[in-house]
Amino acid sequence: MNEKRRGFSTYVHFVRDFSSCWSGSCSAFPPVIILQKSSLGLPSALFDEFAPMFKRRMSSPLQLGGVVRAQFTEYVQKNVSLYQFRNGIPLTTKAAANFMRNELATALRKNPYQVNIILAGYEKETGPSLYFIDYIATLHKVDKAAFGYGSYFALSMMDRHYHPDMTVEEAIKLADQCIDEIRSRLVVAPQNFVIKIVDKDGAREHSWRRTTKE
Amino acid sequence: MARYDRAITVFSPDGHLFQVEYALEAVRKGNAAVGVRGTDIVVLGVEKKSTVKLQDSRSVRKIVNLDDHVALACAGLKADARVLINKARIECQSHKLTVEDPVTVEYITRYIAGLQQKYTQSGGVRPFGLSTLIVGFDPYTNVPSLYQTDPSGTFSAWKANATGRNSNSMREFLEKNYKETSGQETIKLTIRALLEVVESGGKNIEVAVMTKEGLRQLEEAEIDTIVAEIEAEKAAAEAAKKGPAKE
Repeated sequence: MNEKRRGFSTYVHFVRDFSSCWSGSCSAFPPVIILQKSSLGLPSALFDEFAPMFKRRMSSPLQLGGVVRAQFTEYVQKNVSLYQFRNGIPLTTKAAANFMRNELATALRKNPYQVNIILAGYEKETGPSLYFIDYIATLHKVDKAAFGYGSYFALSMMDRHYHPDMTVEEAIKLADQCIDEIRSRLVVAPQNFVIKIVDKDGAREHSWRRTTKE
Repeated sequence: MARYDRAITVFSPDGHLFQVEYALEAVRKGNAAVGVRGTDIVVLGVEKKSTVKLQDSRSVRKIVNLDDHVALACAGLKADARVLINKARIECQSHKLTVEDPVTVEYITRYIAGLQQKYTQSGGVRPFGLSTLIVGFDPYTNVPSLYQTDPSGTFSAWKANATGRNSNSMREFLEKNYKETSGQETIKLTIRALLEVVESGGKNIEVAVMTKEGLRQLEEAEIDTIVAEIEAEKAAAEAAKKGPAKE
């Protein structure tokens, strides 16, 4: 039972055409939700490719600024795999989170990235972990996280219903509650969501919540 | 000879760049390395200097990954190699970042050769004392390839080649014995070529196998069994030769 309860993160991915109009100002975060714990989390985000490229253990959902976000995530991916080739071991989730924070902080006073990050990962030694980094480069290790307009609904939903030893099923149910809340209360709610899970088997897609047809 | 080997960028009157030739000499003194291309596999083998009693033999790796699908082995100055490998690894990632596709084996070879050439034509530097064998699979294809570079910055593609100490006798062996092989046979041919110049035993050999799935370094025990197999075959061939003559 304990096995079942521990060791995963769940994600909700907010899916949209990233080349559309959201890039630019930081007040334009698309709604997105996340939550997690030493077990479960469901973050937001986009980058399907990001998960596998992070050498199966990690997935990082980011938001805001289509092109900029794409550039930043790709840049991080490449550095993470470069690290692995140089040292023969992969970067941990924590190390990757700190690397990203440092990159954002360095860029902050030159050419800021305007990217928020929720990073979920799993290591055998530390179990699942979730990190929140915002565009001004503050890093937090969290149990649940969200950003964007939708985060106001999602965060309060998670504050109410989240508890540390949730099962995967409960976590997904909570993700659905968040999605429903966003759909019913947020004027600019996105059409489609995808839920992802990160656990000992890597990062993978769980399911979609669509309002549009394929 | 009058000082034409002082600055590398200066030709001698008869058209030689002495520093580059000295670098080639460093390669000839370096450890032996062999690469053999099969149909579905490409194999790298290097000679391993026996480690001192207290040294951890795993800490010295002579065949390295540049990317998931490209590996490199080299003969020459190991310290120079680290610099070259680092630059090549960065280029692999950087290439992926700019054009999304992983590098082709030819591309990264050209990059490394270009780098080596630069160090024969700029001031205040000396050439890399390195000859490299680069193997891998191009993205989206099932075709293995093998390339070689040298300190002057030239590069070429091969079915099988050797570099480093006694490379000539290994190359001759390969020229005599090369066949289009696959899988285990290719690995065997590589080790047989190495055994021409290296004392037998997994302790003295490092072998890495590149397949579509990526690079795999063979364990010492695995190499030992293949070496034993080769020696048994050799003994059998010898006996077959001698046998009829005696009767």
